[in-house]
Amino acid sequence: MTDLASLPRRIAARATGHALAFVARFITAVRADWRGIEPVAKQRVYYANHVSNGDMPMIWTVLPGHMRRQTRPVAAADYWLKNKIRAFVGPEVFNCVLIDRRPEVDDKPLDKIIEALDEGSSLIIFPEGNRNMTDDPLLPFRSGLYNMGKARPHVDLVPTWVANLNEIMPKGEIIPLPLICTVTFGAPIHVEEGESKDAFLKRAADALVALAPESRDEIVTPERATEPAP
Amino acid sequence: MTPETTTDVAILGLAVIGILIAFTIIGETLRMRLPHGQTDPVVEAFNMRVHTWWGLAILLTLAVLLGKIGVILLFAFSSFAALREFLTFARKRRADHLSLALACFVILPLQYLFVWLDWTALFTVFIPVYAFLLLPIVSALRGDATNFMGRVAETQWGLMICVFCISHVPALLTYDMPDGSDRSILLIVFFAMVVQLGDVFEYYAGRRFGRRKIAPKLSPKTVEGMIAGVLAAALIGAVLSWVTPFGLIGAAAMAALASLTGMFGSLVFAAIKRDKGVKDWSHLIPGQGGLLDQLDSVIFAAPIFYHVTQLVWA
Repeated sequence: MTDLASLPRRIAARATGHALAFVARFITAVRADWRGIEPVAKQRVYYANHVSNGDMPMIWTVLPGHMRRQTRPVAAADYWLKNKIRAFVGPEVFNCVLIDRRPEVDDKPLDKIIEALDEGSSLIIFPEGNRNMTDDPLLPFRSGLYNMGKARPHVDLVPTWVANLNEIMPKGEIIPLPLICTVTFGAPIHVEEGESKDAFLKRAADALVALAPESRDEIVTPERATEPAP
Repeated sequence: MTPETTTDVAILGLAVIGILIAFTIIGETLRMRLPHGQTDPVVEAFNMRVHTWWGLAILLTLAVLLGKIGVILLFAFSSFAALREFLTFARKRRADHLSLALACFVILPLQYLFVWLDWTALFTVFIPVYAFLLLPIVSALRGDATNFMGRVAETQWGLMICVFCISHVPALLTYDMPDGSDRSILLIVFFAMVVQLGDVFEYYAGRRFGRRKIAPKLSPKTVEGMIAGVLAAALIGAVLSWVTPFGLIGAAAMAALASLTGMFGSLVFAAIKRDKGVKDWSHLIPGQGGLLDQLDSVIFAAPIFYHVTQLVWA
């Protein structure tokens, strides 16, 4: 009975998801670069750089349907429950794992994450915790990635670099700029036996930064003149 | 469209299909002649391109059959995709966010609206005058002087290349045919065919017979290839002269002019890409990179073709 009653809502959620993906593709022609993994529905934690609220929808958009269905972004409850529209989009369209960031709440975020992993879901997480507003490529990682990697060592931790979003939609701007966005998936990493938290987090951050395209001003001109055919 | 025009569109469409079938057969034959289990990258690249040409030809045919609105929408979206690629590699800062958003979401649609409304006096100056003056003001108001000239210049180039120039293809619709017919839409097909086929001949003749490179540091284009391409374009233009008001010689000359400007346009794009250190503008078209990689010759040829048509055959 409840299933039947929620059917229109679920259809609306699917339709909204497709509409959001369409807008993301229209603005950015977003494309996945499967550099280190295959696009197959294997259980993974995609950990990504975070510069804009558009990061998560971009990753979500480039995941093929069969992967998208089993992938849940980990997101802040205070952001996604702020109003009715967000409360629909976050939990129902993106199927987010909502984390309560309020200090007074005695709710362990890691428990919810482990629970979602044990259900077989893949996750999208932003280990920097906050949007990166600095000129550095990444903020220092929080310990969450290490803790989940240690608790569920069989799950692949996949570095995922979202390029260009700081220019497409910088904080404080309302209109996104149409620029090409690429989401690069690197080779998975795991917490090694006896590896310290700091050592692992450094290795994870290095693996992620390695996927970033070089800064364009520093690109050395290639030697050979190439020309695409007409 | 009048029935005669529709018939002529259909004939041109069938001719394009014929050419593409021939290319497809050539490509598949070359592939079959290779020993089992072997592939030749040149043949594979050719086949990939033929696939793309099929897609582009079908798109253009559908747009032309829809008439004015179809053609304008097709090129407006092409401009949008081209600008998206160009601005990705252009120099810009946070302070340019609003002016770039205006360029994409206000200037671009307005330019195509003016083409649609046939306001020649406005669409020929809107970007080089009004956008040229307005956008730097919007950027300057944010008060960031770092690299200001470079940022403004590159943005302006993007608008000229991706919006102003590309919009001159559908602008051919505003040309009044001397006989008062609605056949100006066929000029678009004529233009697209001579430029594209000229490029194909230039590329493969250049590979086969090319000796002297015109700009060795930029591009593998050769003098021999370009001459072959322009001659082929002129010949195709002469064959297609019945769709134009140019006459036999005029059509050959216009085709040669379009093809030549297109090839030099492609050279300019090679220089831009070398400067930015990119090989392809994006991955929009499988096997051919971005839309700008595909349209580079059309972009330079379009305004010249448009204005010479208006000047000589007005």
